[in-house]
Amino acid sequence: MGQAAVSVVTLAVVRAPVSLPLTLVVALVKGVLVVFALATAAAYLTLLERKIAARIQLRIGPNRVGPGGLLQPAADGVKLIFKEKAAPAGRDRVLFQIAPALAAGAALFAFATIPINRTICVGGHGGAGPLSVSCAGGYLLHWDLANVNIGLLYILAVTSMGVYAIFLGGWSSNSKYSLLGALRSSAQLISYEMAVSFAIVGPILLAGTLNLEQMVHQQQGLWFIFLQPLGFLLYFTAAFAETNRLPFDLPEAEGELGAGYHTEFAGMRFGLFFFAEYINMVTVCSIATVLFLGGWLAPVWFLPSWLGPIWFVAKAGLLLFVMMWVRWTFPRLRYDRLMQFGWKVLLPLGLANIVVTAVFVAVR
Amino acid sequence: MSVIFGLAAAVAVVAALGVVVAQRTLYSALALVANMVALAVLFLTLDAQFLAAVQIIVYAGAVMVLFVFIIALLSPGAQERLHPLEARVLIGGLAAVAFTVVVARLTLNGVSVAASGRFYGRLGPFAPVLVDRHGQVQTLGEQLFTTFLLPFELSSLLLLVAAVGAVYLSRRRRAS
Amino acid sequence: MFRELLGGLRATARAMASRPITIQYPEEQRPVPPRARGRHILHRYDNGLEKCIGCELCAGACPVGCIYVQAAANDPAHPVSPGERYAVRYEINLMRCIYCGYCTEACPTEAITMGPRLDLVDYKRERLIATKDDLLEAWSGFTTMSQGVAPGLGRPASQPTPMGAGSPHSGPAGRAPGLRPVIPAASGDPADTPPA
Repeated sequence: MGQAAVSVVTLAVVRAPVSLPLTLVVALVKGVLVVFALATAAAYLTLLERKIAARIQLRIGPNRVGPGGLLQPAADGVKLIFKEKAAPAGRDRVLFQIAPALAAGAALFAFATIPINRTICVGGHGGAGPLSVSCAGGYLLHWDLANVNIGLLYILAVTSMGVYAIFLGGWSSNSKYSLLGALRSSAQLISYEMAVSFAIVGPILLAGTLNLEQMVHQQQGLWFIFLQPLGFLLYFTAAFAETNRLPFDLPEAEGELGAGYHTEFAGMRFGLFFFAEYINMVTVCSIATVLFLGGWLAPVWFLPSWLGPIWFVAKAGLLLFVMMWVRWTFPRLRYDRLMQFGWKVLLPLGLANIVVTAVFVAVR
Repeated sequence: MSVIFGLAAAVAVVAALGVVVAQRTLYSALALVANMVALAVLFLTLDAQFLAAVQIIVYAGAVMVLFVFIIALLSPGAQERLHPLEARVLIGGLAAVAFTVVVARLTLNGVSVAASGRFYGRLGPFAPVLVDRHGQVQTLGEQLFTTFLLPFELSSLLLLVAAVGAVYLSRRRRAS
Repeated sequence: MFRELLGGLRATARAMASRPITIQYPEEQRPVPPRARGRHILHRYDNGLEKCIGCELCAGACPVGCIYVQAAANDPAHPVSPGERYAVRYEINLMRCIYCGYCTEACPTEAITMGPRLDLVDYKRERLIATKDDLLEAWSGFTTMSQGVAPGLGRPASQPTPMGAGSPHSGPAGRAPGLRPVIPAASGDPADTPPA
């Protein structure tokens, strides 16, 4: 619902709305749909992860609950809800309650400005030019929750707030392992935020805008991944660190640290952290799709007009598959090497990428 | 909309009070984060979207994270309760009032209201119509690199000095 | 460095493309080795007499003490086993049994052996105490007898038992779900004829 609030605030405050009640209703419906879709996606990503892990390990994943294991996430959810909510005695009660909710909230919030299709004029004749969509007599339907001109910055802002959830979760648990995991995780997140920011400056320079929808429109001739291969690699690598996924998952490494910052959270509290991690994965892959893989655009010779969301989901799904594939292939990076990699490799490479792209854009 | 302004301002004021009054130091820091988020919403109501985003990314999302780190790691003790008639509370209150008066006077003096009802500052060549024409980020970038180039370079130098100082102060001293 | 990374990805990709090696129990089962020590079977001679003479050597040999034998004298008119005694009650506590096979080694008549049935699970403890009914293999010649069934000569091969008799001739209606284990065919073993 917070996403609906964001869209209402920005729409109502920043632009004169078409009509406030209609905006409100559309925002609410979109909010519900997005939350529902992301929740389902996160749940089934857990199943997908287990199946992929199984196939890589020459076994079959869960296939007993429901046809082919399709109800396994439901069973997991029910189990988590029914678990005893054991919690350490000396915990900070307020923050312990809030932290998982904050994590899940920030993860959901971040998806608000990602468009999965181009703006469509509903009922009424619209000019459907790429940079200005006008809709006389109809309603301009944006396919993201909030179409703000600083879309990309908004996402960076919300993900930087997500760091608090992890840190407070670990600190409020009153446990050594949790605190260590939380510290490592937060430090890793804020370091790789820099790498992410540098990596996405490339597409921003090429597109000339921070609005995600415009950015996809700018990729109509050629997807940015072909112009920015290094940028894509940098972003994708930093994305692994941003979502605490292997090979950068020492903060929550099962063998090393108990379970890091979410050690002491039981039942659905842990479920929310887990949920937040998978939604972060979805968000990060969606951003990569929008910035580098052309969003809802089809490969050239297909008709993209009504198939947009499907292309988007397919591309993001492919990136998610790669994320899981990588997880079950590579060993974990030791924490100090992780930090070194972020600051001494990704950051300089990102800077070099920016310089080269800037020269290219200036000279073009 | 004044409703949103009212809400955001109320949250900002309550959070600011929370910073001063909270019993545990960590809650103080978190109240400050809430205050900054409320300020970001206020920036949104003023059409300064870029500023709002940067406020959250830099202030609430990086600076305050480090504050919270230090507080949690060094765990200073809980603050003692403040009696309302203590000397420092009175002086602090007076200082807050004085500061508010000064800031109000400066902003009200420096701000004009055009016939269309929009505000702009005293600095001349910049005008809101530039924002409408070119977009926020582009206008801000242009001004930073043309009209305000010198302050920009000086502040980056200042930040560099801070970074160098931090590295120097934290270097490992050889055993003498 | 990239070559190693891509090589790793290729290895896992190849694993993803190959068939899983999982055997999906209980729909698929591995063949049980011929000398596997599963649930016990009390054997008979080919003429229907039980091999067990109630000597209680198996109970004595058992390291855990999970076998209970109650012997009684054979009725000369309707003998159950060739010999003086037979086992009236023969019970094995399958939860305590360690499946070592000492009872098999101790038995003088090769009456008790361990069969191939390994899936011995239940929700109730009582049902895991195998009685003589469960253990005694059915007698394939039952249908040829007209009358006068001696006590202990057992059921026809088609009648189900609670724990499922171990003979390959018994029906599919054991309580355990799924397939019966693959058991080698009954032998034409001269040891299966009773002593004179």
